[in-house]
Amino acid sequence: MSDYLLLTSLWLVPLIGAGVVLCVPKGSERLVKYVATGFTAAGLLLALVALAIYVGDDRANAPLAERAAAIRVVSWPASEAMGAGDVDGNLVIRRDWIPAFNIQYYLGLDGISVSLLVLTGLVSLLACLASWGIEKQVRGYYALFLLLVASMTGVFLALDLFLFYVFFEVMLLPMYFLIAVWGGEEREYAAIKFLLYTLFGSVFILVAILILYFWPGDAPAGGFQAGTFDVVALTTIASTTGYYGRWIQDWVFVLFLVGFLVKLPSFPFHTWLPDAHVQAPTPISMILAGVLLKVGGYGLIRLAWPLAPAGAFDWSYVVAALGVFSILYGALAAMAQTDFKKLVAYSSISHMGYVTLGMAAMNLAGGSGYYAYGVNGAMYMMLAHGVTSAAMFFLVGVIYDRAHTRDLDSLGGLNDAMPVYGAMSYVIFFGSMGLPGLCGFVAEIFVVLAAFHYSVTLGVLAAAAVVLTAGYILWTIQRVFLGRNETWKDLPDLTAREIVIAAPLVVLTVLMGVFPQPLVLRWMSPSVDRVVQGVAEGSARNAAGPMAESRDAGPPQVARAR
Amino acid sequence: MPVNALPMDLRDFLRVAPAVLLSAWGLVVVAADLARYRRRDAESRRLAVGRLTLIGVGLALASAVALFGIDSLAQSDAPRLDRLLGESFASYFSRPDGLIFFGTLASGLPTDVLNVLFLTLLGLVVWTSTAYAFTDDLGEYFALLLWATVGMMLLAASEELATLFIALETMTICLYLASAFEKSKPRSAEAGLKYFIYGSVSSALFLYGLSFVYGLTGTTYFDAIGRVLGRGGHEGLAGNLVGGAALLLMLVGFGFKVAAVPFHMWAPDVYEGAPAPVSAWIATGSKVASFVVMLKVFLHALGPWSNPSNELMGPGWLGVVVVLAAATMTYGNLAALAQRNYKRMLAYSSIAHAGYILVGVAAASVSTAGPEAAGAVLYYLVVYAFANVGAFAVAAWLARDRDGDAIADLDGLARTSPALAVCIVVLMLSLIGVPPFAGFFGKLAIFMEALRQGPSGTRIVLAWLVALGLFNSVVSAFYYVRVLKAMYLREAPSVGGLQRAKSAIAVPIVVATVVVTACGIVPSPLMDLMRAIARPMLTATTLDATAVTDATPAAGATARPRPVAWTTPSRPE
Amino acid sequence: MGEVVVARILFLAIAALGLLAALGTVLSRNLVHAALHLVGFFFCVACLFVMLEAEFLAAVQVLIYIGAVAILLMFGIMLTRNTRGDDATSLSGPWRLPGLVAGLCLFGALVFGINNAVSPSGASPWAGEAARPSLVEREGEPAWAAERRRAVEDMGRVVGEEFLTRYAMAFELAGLLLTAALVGAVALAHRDEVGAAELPPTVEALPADSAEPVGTAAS
Repeated sequence: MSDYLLLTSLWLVPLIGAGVVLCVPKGSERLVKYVATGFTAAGLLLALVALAIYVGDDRANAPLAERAAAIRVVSWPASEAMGAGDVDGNLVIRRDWIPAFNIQYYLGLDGISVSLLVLTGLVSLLACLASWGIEKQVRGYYALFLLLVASMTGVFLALDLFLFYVFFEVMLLPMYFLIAVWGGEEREYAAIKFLLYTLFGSVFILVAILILYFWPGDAPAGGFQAGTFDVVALTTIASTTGYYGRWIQDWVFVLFLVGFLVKLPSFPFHTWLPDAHVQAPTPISMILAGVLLKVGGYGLIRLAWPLAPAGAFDWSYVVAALGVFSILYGALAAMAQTDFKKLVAYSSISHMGYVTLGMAAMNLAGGSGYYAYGVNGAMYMMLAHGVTSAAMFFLVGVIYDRAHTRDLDSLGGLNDAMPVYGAMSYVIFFGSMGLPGLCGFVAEIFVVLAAFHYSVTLGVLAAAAVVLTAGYILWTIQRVFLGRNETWKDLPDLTAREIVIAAPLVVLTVLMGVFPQPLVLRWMSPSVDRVVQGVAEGSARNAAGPMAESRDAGPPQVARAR
Repeated sequence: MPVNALPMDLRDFLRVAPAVLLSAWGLVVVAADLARYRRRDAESRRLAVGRLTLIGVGLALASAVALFGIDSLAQSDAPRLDRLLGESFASYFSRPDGLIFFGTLASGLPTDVLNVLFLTLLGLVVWTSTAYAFTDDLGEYFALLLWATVGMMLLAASEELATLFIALETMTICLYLASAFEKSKPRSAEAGLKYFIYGSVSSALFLYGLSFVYGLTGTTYFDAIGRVLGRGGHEGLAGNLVGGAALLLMLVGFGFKVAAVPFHMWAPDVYEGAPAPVSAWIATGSKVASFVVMLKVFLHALGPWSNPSNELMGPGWLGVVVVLAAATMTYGNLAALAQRNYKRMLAYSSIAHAGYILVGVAAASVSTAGPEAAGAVLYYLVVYAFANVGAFAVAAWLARDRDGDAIADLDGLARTSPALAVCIVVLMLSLIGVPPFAGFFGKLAIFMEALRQGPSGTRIVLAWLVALGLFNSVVSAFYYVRVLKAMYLREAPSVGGLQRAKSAIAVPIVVATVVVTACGIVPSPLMDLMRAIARPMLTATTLDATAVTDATPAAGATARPRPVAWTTPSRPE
Repeated sequence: MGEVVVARILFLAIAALGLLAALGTVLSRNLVHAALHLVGFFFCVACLFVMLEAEFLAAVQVLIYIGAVAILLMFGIMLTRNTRGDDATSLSGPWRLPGLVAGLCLFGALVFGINNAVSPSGASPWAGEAARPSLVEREGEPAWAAERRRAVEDMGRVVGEEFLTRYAMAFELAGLLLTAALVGAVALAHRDEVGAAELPPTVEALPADSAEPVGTAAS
């Protein structure tokens, strides 16, 4: 399969699915469900194929910059045969899209994006299965759902800032409708809040993109003249030259940061999340927590840090403190909730704080080794949280379907009525808590390790937050599953479909905790390390950071520590 | 005394064929309505007259497309044109300057493209007009629409101030009258009267400004004015209050036509009061034509006065336009937030859009890309016009079935007409400027032109203007989403809801949606076309240009004789 | 020198009269009086044309504006029998002052500007007479001056030629404009016999207002 076909079909297949779903005649709602599930499954399959190619092929897992440089831009519509400019098998394609502004249709994959792509495929397939209970306007629901999947996939694929922005914006609308039409009581308020928050955030992103595009340059950079949206080229420029000076990088970084922190969400911009989560239907909550929040994190790791490394370095303490505060605040707020879903939502905020902290723990003294721990941890946290939070929202949805309440105080004793449900919940909840041997632990330990090397205060605080997390998770388990409660003793246990949905997530929670290295880090870390390397170089060049002064042997690179 | 009149080239009439056809067809429609259709019942009469009008629009469109074909062939493959049309016509069509009627009108690709645009939009508006009964004087109504379009086409083509003014008046007077046509509603009469009074005052001020420009430069040709002004060094307006007053007066005139703050007061009342198709035509056709001619006047004729001192708040019109743009988009959006009436909401939103376009006008005058930067404005205009024609077709739908125009009248549309509801969503998104729809690329193109400047004193200010524009578009999401909310989140009333849309309403909505989507996903062709026509549109040299520069002693002896010289600058160097 | 002074005094007198007439048009409550003031104003404009050596335009001004437009206007007023103007149309109180200030500012700017204007080519101020077309042939005058002189001498013919050549399109467009105004005004003023009684009062007042485009369109 040529790259062109593979990368395009990754986002196009769900989109075609949306069209097909709309064409299914009225009344055949079962067919709609099968068709939609088929298309999402195809999406997951394609993502796995991409992963296999990426892991298996040396050409494909070479540094992104090398692969991109090997490709000639083909104008569109190409007079030559399709794919003439591609080097097959290296998972990068580029075409002219709007030549007037040098905007390209530019897709590519590396370890970071491919891992999130697989996560997207998996979570959306499971969410699609979980949506089988939707009764209201099934066709519209699945069409929007598939549109959402397509745009999320596109975000992870795009290597052109502009294309990225387009996919990023397209995501808003299906999400708005999915919450506003199929949501709970307060759905309209939650949906419009979500829409306006993210629109405001994306304006910041667009401004940053435009600044990068139009900046006339502070220092010569080998003939580089801005005027490009090429993420790879801009990353190289930012890390190897002083074209974007420190002052402008500070601005660009803050703009990107605000834009993506809204999406992530982190402390000052998080208020849309609990509303959106509580009101959204269960499968949409799964997508929202499992994938959509990761778009914010992906934006940070792909754009904010690499494109403005000096700015990131200047702001790092503030951002790290913000991350720690988010962790603590999220955990404390979660503890105060009586609504099960809101609790999970606040726990998401808390976990996303680790992502911010991991990215911001920029201790570059003695090489970038410790910093690499942090970024790897942040990435791993995104994957782990993607798995556990999707599962948690699903489990909450299951109980809501049966008991029609999410009030933690009225639940209880579910363990007796639903033993399978209980067992699965324990694994997921402990995974989220960061119990050693489960996926959350790997991420947290990496991040906390990096944080200690960055600032002991922040490190201690972040580590202390683990206690809070344990507190609210255990308390929740106690309130929901333990004890005796006559009210719920007749609740049926999980159905086969529900087990099918929950099981992969449970298995992944365990596997990712036990075999982090062979399963994920082996192929993801090299990409992360390259990002870290670029950020370290760039910030050292522009900020004359500590890296220039001392250069003793740092800790081993994650990728090599088998 | 020898008559030194120029022999007029009658072939020039061929190149305004669409306008000639439309003018004549207006009479045909009036006559046919009087003679044949008046006796039929209202419904079939309306359809018959509408269909007849559409035939005329189709003919004009065909001629415009044919001219477009000929003109593009003249540029790309002249020998083939020779074979097709014969030598003399071919050489006539491939004349480089592309000006007709002694340089008073432009022809060529830019004009052809704009004519095709106007006629397509007109077709949609005419079709919308057949949707419901708002007037009994059908023949007159459709004729006025056709004649207003003649004014628009010639306005967009004019290269000279006198022609510009007459075309402008033709357009606006037809629209004043048409907006008062819904006689059963006092609001409609009020709209017509209000539009008329504000419009005539602004026209008078505009004319006053034109006369000063003529007095200062001694010519009415855009190109010659630009030349004379350009010659005056770069002191520009310093110490020349007449020039400044002329600029301000012309800005007032254009500001009224495009509904820029603070000359916008008429817009909401007129849009609300006039019948929906007329509002559509005021919001799209007249705005497009006014902006095109504004580009021509301000960039071509008064270009040297845009920013002579290279400081934003120095003399020149750039600073004023920047302030107007900022005020217009902010006010338009904030005022639209409070609207519960669909047509008023569209009116304020179109004020806001005028603000974005003014950013483009300001940007084009200082952009390093030169006249091509105006292509962004043209692209925006096309996209905006289509989206608004679709949006006003919805207003016609409301007027037909609910006899109202509140946003709440759209309640539950998603249940009853899901496909059209999706189309309306697309239109609203395009108006907000959400990718991947064309409205986003229009805004983006304008903002990028505003930022694409060399080192100059204006860059920072324009950058802030762009930032303001971006935040404004987020604000605008709030009121457009209200439409989506009504359609999707409310229940339709059990009785008296919107009926099925007939083709008169559905077709404009669908066509607009298709255009907006297609130009969004593949923006390049339209963008390239608009950039390509922007240059010839803004640099067309008049026939007089040669006369200004060469010092031929006597009229009549030159290769291209001139009748009288008062169109040339009165004071040669 | 003497003729310049005379010309200036004449100009000032005519301009002052014209201004008075214009004020009378705007301010008089009785519509017939206003229309008569308008006639006076048109006449002053015709006089100014004469001073500018544009006799043909002066004649046209008298024939069309006084002979046709003003008379039509009078007929319109008399036919509607509504000679008392509408009080509601005058500017409301709080806006009167700003309006006055804005108008005076514009006036001041123009007076100051025209008196001090330099032409963009920087050759001479407007007040200079160098470019004033003159009927007297001078030695060694440039070609454009000769042409202009011929044009002024034979203005009727030149205007006609211009209308049929250079401004042919504008001329015909003006014809279309008048047709459109006529057709539209008739359609608006035409009242169905049946529905007349039900129409709200504002619509009844409309014909008088909407007849105006016909008049103004002629300009």
